[in-house]
Parts: sequence; C-alpha cells; structure tokens
Amino acid sequence: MASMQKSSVVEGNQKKGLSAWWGRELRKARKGKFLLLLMVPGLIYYIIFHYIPIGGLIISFKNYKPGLGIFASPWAANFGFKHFIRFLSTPDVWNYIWNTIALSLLHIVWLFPLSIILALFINELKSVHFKKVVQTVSYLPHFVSVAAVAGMLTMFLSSQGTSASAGDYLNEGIINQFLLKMGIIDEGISFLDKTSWFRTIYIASDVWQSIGWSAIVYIAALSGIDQELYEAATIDGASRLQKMWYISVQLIKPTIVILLVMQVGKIMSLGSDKALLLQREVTYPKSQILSTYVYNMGIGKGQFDYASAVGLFNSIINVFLVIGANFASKKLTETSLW
Amino acid sequence: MVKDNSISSKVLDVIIYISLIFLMIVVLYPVIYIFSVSVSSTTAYESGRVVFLPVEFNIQAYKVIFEAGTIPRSFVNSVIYTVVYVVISLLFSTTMAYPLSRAKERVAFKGFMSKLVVFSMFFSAGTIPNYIIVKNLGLMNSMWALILPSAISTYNLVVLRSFFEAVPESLEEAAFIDGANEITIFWKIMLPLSKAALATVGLFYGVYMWNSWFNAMLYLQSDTKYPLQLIIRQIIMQNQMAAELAAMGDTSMMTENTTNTESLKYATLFLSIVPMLAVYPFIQKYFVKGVMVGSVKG
Repeated sequence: MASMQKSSVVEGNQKKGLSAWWGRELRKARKGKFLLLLMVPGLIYYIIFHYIPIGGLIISFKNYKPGLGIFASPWAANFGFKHFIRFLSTPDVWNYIWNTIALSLLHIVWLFPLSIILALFINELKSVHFKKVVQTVSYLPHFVSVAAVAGMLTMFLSSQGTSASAGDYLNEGIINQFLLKMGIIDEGISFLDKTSWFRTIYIASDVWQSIGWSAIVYIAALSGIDQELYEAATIDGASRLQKMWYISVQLIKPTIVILLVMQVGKIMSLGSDKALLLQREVTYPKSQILSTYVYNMGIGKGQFDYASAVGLFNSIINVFLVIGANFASKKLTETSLW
Repeated sequence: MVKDNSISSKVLDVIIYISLIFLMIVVLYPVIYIFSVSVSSTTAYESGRVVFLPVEFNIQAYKVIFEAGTIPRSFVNSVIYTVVYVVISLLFSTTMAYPLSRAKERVAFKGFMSKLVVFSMFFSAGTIPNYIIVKNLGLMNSMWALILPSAISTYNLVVLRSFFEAVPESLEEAAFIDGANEITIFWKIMLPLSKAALATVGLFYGVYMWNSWFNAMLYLQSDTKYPLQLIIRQIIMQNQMAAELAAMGDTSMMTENTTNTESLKYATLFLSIVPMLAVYPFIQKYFVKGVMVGSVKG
C-alpha cells in the first residue's frame, strides 16, 4: 500500500496538463470507487444549488420575461449592462451601500472591544462555578432566533403615542412605559418608525445577541497562556491591570488580528435577515442595505433581472474584499484563512 | 498563583463582578419579562404594573393559543422540518466531508471537488437565482424548498472534515493490513469514532433550521405549512393578530380582564424561544467545540 502511494506521488509530480490529470484521476478511480461514489450526492447538491444558480446570474444581463425563461429572454440594452447602469445611476443606491458599510463598521467597533473585554473579565475570575454561570448565561441570546429578537424589539419599543397624562399604557412597550412613568418623555415614541434610531437598535441588539458568543474564541486563547508568565510578572511587581494589558492582550493579539481582518472582509456582505425584520418603509434612508434592496426589488417588486444585477455587483465586491482580507491576514500574522 | 491583595486589585475585582452581573441581568431580563407579561392580566399590563414578575397570574393566553391550533401546528411543522433537515444534511455533509479528509492518493478527483466546495464559499449567486432554481425545480410551497437548498453548509463541512482528519492514520493502516476495504473502514471505524463530531454538526444544523424564517417566507405560500418562526414574524411584525383572532374563532379573550392581544403576542414569543432555552445549556459545549475547530482550521 505504502509503496503504491509513493509511486503515484512521483507520477503526479512528473506529469502536468489536463489530459494527464484526467488520466491520473481515472486510474485512481479504477483502484477505488467507493470514496468517489460517496461524494456524488454532495457533488449533485453543489451543482444544482450553487453552480446552476451562478449560471443563472446571466439573468442580470437580460430583460427577463418569466414566460420565456432566463435563456430565451432577450439581452438587455447597453451590451447587457442596462441594469448595472440603472443601479449605479440611482442616487439612493450610494446611500444603501453606505448603510451596509456603516452597519458592518458599527458592528465591529462595538462588538470587538466589548467581547474582548468580556473575555478578559471572565479570565480574571477565580471561582470556576461563577465562571461557568456567566459563560452559560452569556451564550443564551446566541440561541434565540433573529425573528424572536426582532419580535422582542418590536414589542418593547412599540408605541401608539400615548401621552404621559393618559394614565394607562395600552399598546406602549416596556421602554415607553418606563420613560413615560419617569417623566423623561411626554408622549410615547415609536422607536422603530424613527430613522435616527435604526442603527442604535440594530447594533445594540447585535451586541446583546453575540457578545458572549464572540468572546469564546478569546477565552480559549487566554486559557492557553502559560500561568508562569503571570507569576513571573507578579514577582516583578506588575499590577493586575498591567498583567491584563501586557500579557493577556498581547498574547491574544494574533487571534484578534485574524478575526478583525475576517470581519473587515465581510463588510459588504451583511445579510438581510435582521434588517428585513426591523426595517419600515419610513426608515429606508438608514435601514435599506444592499441585501434588503435586492430582496425588496426582486421578490417584493418582481424585478428579477435588476435585483440579480445588484446582487452580482455585491458578490463581486465581496470576492475582492475576502481575497484582500486573506492577503492582509497572511502579511500580518502569517496565517492564511484557507 | 501568587496572591495579590492590593487595593487596586480589589477595586478591579469589584468592577469585574459588577459588570458581569450587569451583563447577566441584561441577558436574562427580556426573557423573564416576556414570560411575566404572557401570564399576567391585561389590566396589570395596561396600567404598567408588570415590571419584572407576573402580576395577577393567569394562563389564559396559553389556553387560547393551544385551543386555536395555529401555533401548535406550526410548532409541529418546525419539529418535522428540523428533524428531516438534520438527517438529510448530515447524510450529505458526511459523505462529502469524509473523502475530502482522506489522502489524495486514495480519492479520485479530490482536488477538483475541494476547489468546487471552496469556491462556493467566496462566490454565491445570491437570493434571486436561488429563488428561480427552487421555483423551476417545482419545490415551491413544499418542505423540500427549505431543506434541499441548504442541505450542505460549507462551514459545517469544513468542521466535519477537520474532525475526520484528526483520526490517526495508523488506525486505518492497521485496518488495511488486516484486509479491510474502504467501505468497512468508513462504516466500521470512522463513523463510530466520529459520533461526537456528528452530534456537534447535527446540532449546528438543527439550531439553524429551528431558528430560520427567511427561506420559509420566500418559498412557502400556505400558512398551514409555516414554521413557528414565520408565525412569530407574522403575528408580531405585521400586526396580523386581528386576522389570527378571527381565524381562531374564539372571542372569549376579547372580553374584559381575561387576556388581550398583547399577552397573546408575548406568549407566542415565549413559546418560540422556550425549546432553545430548555436545551441550550446541554448542547452549548458541543457548539463551543465546533466554534473552536471552525476558527482554527477554517
């Protein structure tokens, strides 16, 4: 067995080119079909649900007529680029692109430091029992669905504009009940209908949902640090804050850098799930991001060709961002993401 | 470890404990509040007296929900979708991940297959072409529209492959020498050894399906097929409660002091998160393991 493997390796190094590759793989297949056969269901899955849809992106260059199907539909004007030109010349679009980036950036700016601080704090705990309780509790929101989180936000923040003098709080959510009772506001505020509140609500609930979960990686990295380092520092007279900064933070820096770079690579690929649930038409100036725009134009208004062009534009940018992120990660930490 | 009894160290401890306790309150409060409103009387809620614990305890809202049937039915739908999805996706993922974890001398077309998989991580066609393919396959309004398009998550595939790769090669070599073939090795050695890995990835898939709503909204038209999360979205987001109530044909909750649409909303919301609340403390350790494998090897 071992000698057989060795000979095929040598062979593989000698011959190059497509037909040589094909012949080599076929010879392997003749020797053992089982592992190849195992991959057939997966292969079919990837072809049908990834590669055929990628072929279907051709719709972005067509004037799609549902009756004709994608391929029989006529090509769009401007050498097929009609939808892209329309997209890039819509003034609101730059706003939507900025909304996507702004939400991703805010997510990074808040969640990154907070989850690192949480990990550092948990690492300082001496009681194993309390540590476990804190971790378990902080993971809870990760298992709550986005729909339920959006439901909570909608109900907690809802308002029919009840005035403070009304005395009862029918249809006022807990937040408005509290603010009215405290006399901070005179009239209930329907927060989700206010454009200026959208980002705050979105990011605050993001932090609520993922702070504990994002801290896992750092907690694991911290637990791998050699305890002798801390002891040596203590003997040298370092305070606990100094040890946190000069030992803990410095030693998990590679982890932080990799995760940060990965996050930056995803800056334009913010999913539509949560934004769709939280957005109202009045808050579009802040709540419409690229992925929700694709949904609203495509599924909502039935403009499949145009929405698909927007999606394709977004996907191409994402590819470049991810490749750039990988390159940056290689340079900074000598760790490649794949 | 050397003890540090300085004042600054004590102050730090106080800050740490206060912030961690604050975090736990912030996490738990909304969940407890939802439960409290769902079992409090309408008058108590409307006069703003429900702040933390239930006031004028009653379970009218839950009675109404269980008598009406919409929510129990969607609950059952969610359970069915989740179970079928976990079985299908584990089958597809295991059969794909195992060959990709073996030496390339043993697996024909391995390089080609891994390129196929990796490329799909970078570039996806997006919502619209996926929607069109599901429609053209005739999957609209069926359970399979939720299950098949996400049968393999490439992230989970990578996690599974890493687990398989961690099984020492010497085990297989010994089996080969004893005359075992690939099928025996896969079935009798690798699968039994990776039970924990399969459980982990199965849980990933299960939680994903239980919590998802977007594909259900895209592909399902008849509301008898809706999963629970989509009902949540409908009831809460679109204020369809009035229509729901009419459909329930029950007017008893319209009468004074029993319950109102608010406590029904809160009760529905609570029912949607309670299964996860019940199981997550037991499954979280598998998730943590999976996150670690995924972040190191991914």
